Amino acid sequence: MRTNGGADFQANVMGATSGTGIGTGAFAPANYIALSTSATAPAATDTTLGSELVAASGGLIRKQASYSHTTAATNYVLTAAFTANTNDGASNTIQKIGVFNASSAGTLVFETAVPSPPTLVSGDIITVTETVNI
Amino acid sequence: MQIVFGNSAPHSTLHEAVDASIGHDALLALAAEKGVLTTVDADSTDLASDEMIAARLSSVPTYEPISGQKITTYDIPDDYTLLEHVGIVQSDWSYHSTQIPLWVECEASPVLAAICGEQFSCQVGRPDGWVET
Repeated sequence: MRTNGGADFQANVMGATSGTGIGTGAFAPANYIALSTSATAPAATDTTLGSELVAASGGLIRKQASYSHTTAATNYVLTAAFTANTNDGASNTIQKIGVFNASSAGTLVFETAVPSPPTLVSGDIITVTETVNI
Repeated sequence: MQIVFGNSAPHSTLHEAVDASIGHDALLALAAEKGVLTTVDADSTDLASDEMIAARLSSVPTYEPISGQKITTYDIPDDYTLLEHVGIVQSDWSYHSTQIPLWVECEASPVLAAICGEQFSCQVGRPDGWVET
């Protein structure tokens, strides 16, 4: 789901010609993936990812994703691999994914529920993929 | 680091939004059909909210073929390891294609190109005369 803030972000990135910092700051590409343990459904009005995993030195904290695209495809793909560690806590069930345009704070552009939420313990590796329709 | 692949069977990966207003029973039926979890988590017997089930269903991908042969480009952050580069390409290639790549190129790392070529059993380097159609 694209958030309301995400719609504003996309409009500015794709169309704005005035203002400073085009391509950086508030206009930086949204390619950071964050994980959440909240089972509350995503909402367009969300501006933060509830229960985002943010443990210091945790392996499940927000990270920059890879970007991939096929010529003429009406989507692109963001993918990031995470490895849970002891700093993340005993276990975490990944319910939602958030896509931001910064490594901390920033604009929550997309928020997606995980179809079958996995529970991760230290040492588990998960590859998270967000496909964005354009 | 950028990695480029020749893609002989490209497709777009799409999502169809499912609205919770279709009703609880319809959501459960659709979830069963698509293999989507309906409880809060796999260890719970508590049902997730209808809104959450609808959101999960909306995340299930569908595919739409693209005619011709195309190029698929990956941009992977430089702080990823070589193995992570390969793992990412392997894990999400199916979001771009139904066939293995025809060829792979990586100007910045011939080693990475060679590993991807081996993993996918595809040619390293674009064949002479190969163009997108």
